[in-house]
Amino acid sequence: MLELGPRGRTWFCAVFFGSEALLIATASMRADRSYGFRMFPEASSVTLHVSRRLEGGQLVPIAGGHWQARDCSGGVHEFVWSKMVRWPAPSRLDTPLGASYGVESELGRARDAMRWVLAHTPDDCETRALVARIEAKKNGRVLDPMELEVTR
Amino acid sequence: MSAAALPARIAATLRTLRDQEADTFLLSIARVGFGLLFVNEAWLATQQLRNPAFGFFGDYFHQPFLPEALVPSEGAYEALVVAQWVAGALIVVGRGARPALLVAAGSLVYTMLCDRLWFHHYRHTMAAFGTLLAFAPCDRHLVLGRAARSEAAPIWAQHAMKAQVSVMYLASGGSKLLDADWRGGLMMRGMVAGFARLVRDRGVPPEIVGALQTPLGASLLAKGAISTELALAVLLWWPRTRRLGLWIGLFFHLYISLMTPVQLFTAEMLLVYLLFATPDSGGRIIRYDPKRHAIVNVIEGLDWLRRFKLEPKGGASLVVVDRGGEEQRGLRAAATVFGALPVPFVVWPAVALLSRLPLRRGSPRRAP
Repeated sequence: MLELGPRGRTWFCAVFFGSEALLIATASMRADRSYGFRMFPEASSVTLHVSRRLEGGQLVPIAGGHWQARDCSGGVHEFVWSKMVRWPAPSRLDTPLGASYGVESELGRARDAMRWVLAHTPDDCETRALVARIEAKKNGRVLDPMELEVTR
Repeated sequence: MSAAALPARIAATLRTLRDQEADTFLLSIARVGFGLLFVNEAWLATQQLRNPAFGFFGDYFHQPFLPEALVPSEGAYEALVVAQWVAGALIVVGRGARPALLVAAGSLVYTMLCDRLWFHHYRHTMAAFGTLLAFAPCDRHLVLGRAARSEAAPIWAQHAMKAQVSVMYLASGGSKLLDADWRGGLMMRGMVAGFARLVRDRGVPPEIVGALQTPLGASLLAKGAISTELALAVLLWWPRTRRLGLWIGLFFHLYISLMTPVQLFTAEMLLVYLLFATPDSGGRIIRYDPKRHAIVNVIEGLDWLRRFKLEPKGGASLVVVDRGGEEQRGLRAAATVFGALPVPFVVWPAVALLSRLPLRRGSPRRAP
């Protein structure tokens, strides 16, 4: 199977390099620009401040990456952000983190991480949504703060 | 050459690259190198599984490209890591190496599709080179328990790996050229600042690190990096510029390794650089007198790529016979030797320049 004849070689190279050209051309459509050979795309950093939105709309910041919440039977549970979201995802809150694949990629990771946390904390019956305020520096320039909200 | 003849010439060149048969020793060296890199990937995956701070990636936040249903369970993932170890070992020893390359590359791609956080350019590159190497006759030398097969074999996949190098340089250099922050030096300035401590710890003088963080320093560095990548995509293919391209590329990647934490990507690129050497073991000859020319023992010890065939003869002068049959002596012979051996290659341009000085060329006191 690995010994290709002249025709097979031509087809193989056409498919291999054609696919690669497609991946390179579409790299901008992916937040992390993956599979496009865009080495060292940015020297950026983001700081993620996450708060919990409770019933009634009240926002409670997650301090030190820890929070307590009641389950639907009233039992109290402790939750730790960094146990659910680990490096190289944004595992630390309120601290600047390197965004070597770019600010956009880090925003995507933060949004997906918040979704994951909400989906995997069934014992937290209080939190209706997670809200992140994001401070970012892109290639040394300070960007306007951004806000992301992910509901349960 | 007329414009009408160009497509025909390109087609003829592509046919030659597709059908060429040649010596496969260089491919075997590349296979062993990539095998070790795949073993390293298996080791990294094992470390992650065993580290209490991480463990199985599916137990905490991960970012799959694939539907979650296609992400493996912990048990299936552990089996996959075992398969990575086995594939890596088979690649290194050369037994079942080509199918093993496909397994190793495929498992790397699958893992990255299961968790985008696992994506790194070096892993993508390793999977691409591994796939292409699987289609090359890389299992004819350096095989555990089996004699080498020295007959020529089709090397179209070796050329495909070289084309892959150019594609990468064009994509990388091109994207940087189109990015105003990159070509203006903003990104480079931030990157040098980010790695400044690491770079200083590696012995780079603080004055140089400081200079590279100035707007002018960073801008020049960025433009230099872009120009180098775009130039290498072409230089490596022309016989007249290939050796210079390899030398520039060698220092380009070593520089990247010095200034950043990137090491594995450099290892991959330097391995693939070996494939740009002409595939002919013993294509050049060294004639020498074993009693007088002990230096040949050093050359033999450094000739890892088997570039030279040694012909000892009592009373012979030290002569290097190049591929075309031209006999070289003195500095010209030294330039050929330095240009063909991996370690002395570092100083090859200096020796090559010295050998071309008119004073030396015309000197009646040329080395015997």
